Amino acid sequence: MQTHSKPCVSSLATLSGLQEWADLPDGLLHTILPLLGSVCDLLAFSATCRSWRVAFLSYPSKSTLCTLVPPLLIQTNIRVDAPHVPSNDIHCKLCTCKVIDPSNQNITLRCQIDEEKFCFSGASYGHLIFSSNKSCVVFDVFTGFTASSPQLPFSVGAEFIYGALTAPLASAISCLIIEDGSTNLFWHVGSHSWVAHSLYHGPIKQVVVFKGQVFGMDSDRRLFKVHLAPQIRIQELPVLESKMISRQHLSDAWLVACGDMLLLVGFHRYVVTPARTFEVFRLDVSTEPALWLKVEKLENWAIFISKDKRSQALSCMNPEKWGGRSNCIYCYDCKSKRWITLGLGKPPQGQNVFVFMDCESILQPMWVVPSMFSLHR
Amino acid sequence: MATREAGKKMIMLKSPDGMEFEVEEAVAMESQTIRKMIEDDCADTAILIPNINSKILSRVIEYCNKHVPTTGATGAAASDTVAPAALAEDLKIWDAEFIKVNRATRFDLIQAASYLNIKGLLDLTSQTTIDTISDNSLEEIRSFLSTKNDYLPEEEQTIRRENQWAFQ
Repeated sequence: MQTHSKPCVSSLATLSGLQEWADLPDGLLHTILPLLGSVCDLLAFSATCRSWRVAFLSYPSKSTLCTLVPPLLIQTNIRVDAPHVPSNDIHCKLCTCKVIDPSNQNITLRCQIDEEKFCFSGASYGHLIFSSNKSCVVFDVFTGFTASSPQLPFSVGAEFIYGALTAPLASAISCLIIEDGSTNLFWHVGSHSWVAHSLYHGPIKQVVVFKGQVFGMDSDRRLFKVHLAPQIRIQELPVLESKMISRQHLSDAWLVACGDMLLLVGFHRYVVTPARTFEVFRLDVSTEPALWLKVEKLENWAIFISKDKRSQALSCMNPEKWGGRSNCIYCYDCKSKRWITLGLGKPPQGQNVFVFMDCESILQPMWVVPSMFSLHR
Repeated sequence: MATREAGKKMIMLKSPDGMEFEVEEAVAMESQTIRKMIEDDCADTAILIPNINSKILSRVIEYCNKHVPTTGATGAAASDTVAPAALAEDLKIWDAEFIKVNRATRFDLIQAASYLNIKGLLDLTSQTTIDTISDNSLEEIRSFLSTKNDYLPEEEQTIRRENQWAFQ
């Protein structure tokens, strides 16, 4: 198609004749990919043939691939009978949970979890993170792939651990970061030891990867850049102090990568007006120090918040494509035991919703995106 | 096909099988590839389109004729009195009819749309491909696209195992 580079040749460039759908060029397949509206459709696309899988894995903007379709809701409280998905850990006892796809609620998916030995500590990139006082186990909720960490350098109170991955297990840059109340520990997946790192004000309590950079937030909502290589280095990102995002104002807060925006989604535990259950702020780095700017509208985005606050918060672009609603927070209603949408700045439709965030050792309903959607090639 | 009208610049598109199509420049410029060529002043009055046979090229021209954003000379249905919303609806119905073609033609059309960079036609053909994938089993998709399954048996097994939770 580079015809313009050859002056005054009145013929378009020749392509070799394609015979098969499998032969379609990646560029063309990349225009088809974002039109798919569900996790299952994207998986089917990637499984069709080798070249389509390559196109899937080489999608130019990997961070947006997982925001093209809605995440799946794992209903950990609803067990279903199903043959076991094979796991590489033959000793774990798995139970099967119901999984709901908001884009197609008629189909019931399933995933398997192992919750016998360990305490739930977090969920990221389609993996559940469990910990005991000795070590951690990371478990791919759909493929069953399991990785066990080396022994922790010191005994920790497993029930209150927060754990997050910086990438799926299968990715070369995957690192498990945990927090035990006073220290952060880092395990480069596949390595043989943990690296401890302490910060003056206390450990990082939450991790998010935004535009390839790992960010962390501590309990006072300070923001940090986390460098994993060549050695662990944590550097505070100066942000103008704001009462709006303080713990007094927002009982819980999540960092969410949302396209070009790094968001802080805050939650009022002791909510007075239902319209103000959630508040959203966007990091503005055009000034120094940076600013958290209040976001009145999420435009064409929806945010997904799980019941356990240690589960990764997710975002989805153009939810109308699959019948969802933009400018909404999708969360779990403990009363009706299903997901609900709360419009940003609007009172919930249908009263009596009960949104509650907690942090428990047992699994809570949560939103996940299969690990494959975040694999970098 | 469009016929020569006073004041309208015409351009000749040639398919590799020797057919010639005289179209308005505006119609040809629905293709960003051709537009670029014309704007860079690299086009004579005739342009050879090497990869697209006359059967597909005539369908592509039919599409561009229908979608060129001018009044008049764009086919029988367009009229000055039609409201934009109604026109859009009319186009939608027309598109739906247009894409009711066999698999091989659809394959040629999507390639032509990509090659000639015609956004509307690319969206239309892509969407039809998506409809093939949506909610169908892997076997159905493969047979519908008559795509050869080029996975080794053990790779196929791994993919099936990894996606077992979703493919059932």
